[in-house]
Amino acid sequence: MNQIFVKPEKCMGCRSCEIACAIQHSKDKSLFPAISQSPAPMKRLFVEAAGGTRMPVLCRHCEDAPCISACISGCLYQDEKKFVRRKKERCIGCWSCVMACPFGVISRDREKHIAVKCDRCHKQDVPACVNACPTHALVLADAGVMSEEQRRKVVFTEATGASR
Amino acid sequence: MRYGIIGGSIAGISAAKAIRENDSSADITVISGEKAGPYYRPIIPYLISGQKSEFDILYPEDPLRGRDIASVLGTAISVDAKKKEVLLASGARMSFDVLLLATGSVPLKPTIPGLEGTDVYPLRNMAQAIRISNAAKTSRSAVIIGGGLVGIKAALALRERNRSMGEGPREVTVIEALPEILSGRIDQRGVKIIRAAVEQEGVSVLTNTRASEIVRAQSAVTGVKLSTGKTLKADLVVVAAGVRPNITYLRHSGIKTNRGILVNESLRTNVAGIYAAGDVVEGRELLSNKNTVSGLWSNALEMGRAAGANMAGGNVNYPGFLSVMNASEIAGIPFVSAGLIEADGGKYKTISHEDGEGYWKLVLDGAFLVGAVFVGDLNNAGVYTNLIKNHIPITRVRDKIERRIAAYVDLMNN
Repeated sequence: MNQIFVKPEKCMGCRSCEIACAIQHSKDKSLFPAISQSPAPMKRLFVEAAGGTRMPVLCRHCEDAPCISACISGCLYQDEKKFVRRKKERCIGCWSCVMACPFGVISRDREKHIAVKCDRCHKQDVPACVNACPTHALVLADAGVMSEEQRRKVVFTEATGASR
Repeated sequence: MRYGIIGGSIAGISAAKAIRENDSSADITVISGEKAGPYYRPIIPYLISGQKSEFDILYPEDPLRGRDIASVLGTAISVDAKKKEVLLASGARMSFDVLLLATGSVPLKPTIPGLEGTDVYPLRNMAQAIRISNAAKTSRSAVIIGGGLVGIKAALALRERNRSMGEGPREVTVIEALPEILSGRIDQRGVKIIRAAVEQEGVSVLTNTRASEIVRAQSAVTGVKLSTGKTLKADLVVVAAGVRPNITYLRHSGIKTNRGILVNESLRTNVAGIYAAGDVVEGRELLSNKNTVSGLWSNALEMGRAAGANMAGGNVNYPGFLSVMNASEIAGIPFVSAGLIEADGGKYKTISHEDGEGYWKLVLDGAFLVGAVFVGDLNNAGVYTNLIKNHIPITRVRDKIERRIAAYVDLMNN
């Protein structure tokens, strides 16, 4: 139960995940203060749509993360849970990670002048985005279990001719 | 197996880590000429501005210590490929079975009368940055020779020191022989925006200008005479006129070099068992298909990784690198530039756009995005650089790419 998986077919594009993410990363971690916080708290994931696909795009916490390789100040690192995180005080705002992330999920905090990315809500068991998703388009799962489920689905579809 | 690595910066460290991953019993020794442990070289200008200390720019954890990799302080003066031995300046010898040359580059010294002596500093490593930082404390006017990334960052760092610490030169001038600063790092339109911001920060920029003499009174520098005939007042001169691969110690080694060390796609030199990685390598630039020296941190890291894996018996192919893959913020202007940033018609299609948010430009070659410049708005920059770096053809999403509104999800429908 370590990785966030996205099931695009279940995403309605409601952006509840974005809101929950921004609240989670606000000062008071609750909706109303977050709304009035200035500058506004920043979300770390982005609901995008293209060609009939809607889905939140978020940090994959890559095993061999391009952002960590690109970081020239020793800010980004892989923590003991394999989450890609920041040592905030080390960030110099050079945006090398922004340049390197193929998912486009690292953004700039213009006030603090540092890079902002998903921290996998490392202090809690279930990340805010997963918690907030009403359709279970975002799920927390073990990679092995998830791929087993996918395989079962394919076999079932092939065997029965049922559509997904 | 005894693995020797000459060079303790990012290429050497990445190689050492890769060797350890592939060979748990390897005997690995890294020879480094720098006293400080591994540090982040690209941010040494922060030592000049005073925004960071020496400690701040060290790696948070020593990557060598935790991996049982020996570290030796020393400078290699020759390599004996037959005896498989490296001779150090101290007289010590290190023998190896497999060797990596990751000696990086050294500052170019332009031939200017009066350059030798006090008050003139190159800027390539931590020790030099500290020397400049100390000299800056009492400096009133500084001249930076060279308007590349290093020169511009040094100039801005001196201004920053003056602003935030109330010490350091009030007058800072960058002189650049070429018609524009940051040559090759960003396109002509982009550099105009950045140059204006640099000048706004109080840095004078003189292009199409060379230093013809460093003027001294007794030994101390008092000014820099320019090719234009004018003389600038100066008590501190920083030389940032580019670098060259550090290869002089290989002169009689039989290892083939041109500007840098020549390697094949395994990063092996012409001598079996000897590899090279990082800024010391003259490798294939993937877009131009020409040999060149990289000079980029990220390329050095990738080369080190591939070379290390291959040294330990792996088979990692390293076809080459992109010369331009830069991100930075200069004088408050964030930018990313990647790949071919200046194309003159022909088979290339260039699209650009400028508004209040900033400026962007894309260069396409048929179905491939080959170049991108983003100034100001860096949103989704990585989505674009990934297309360039991994040579991914654009099919259905061409329209959104060309309007610079493509996001990751678009590529899933590509």
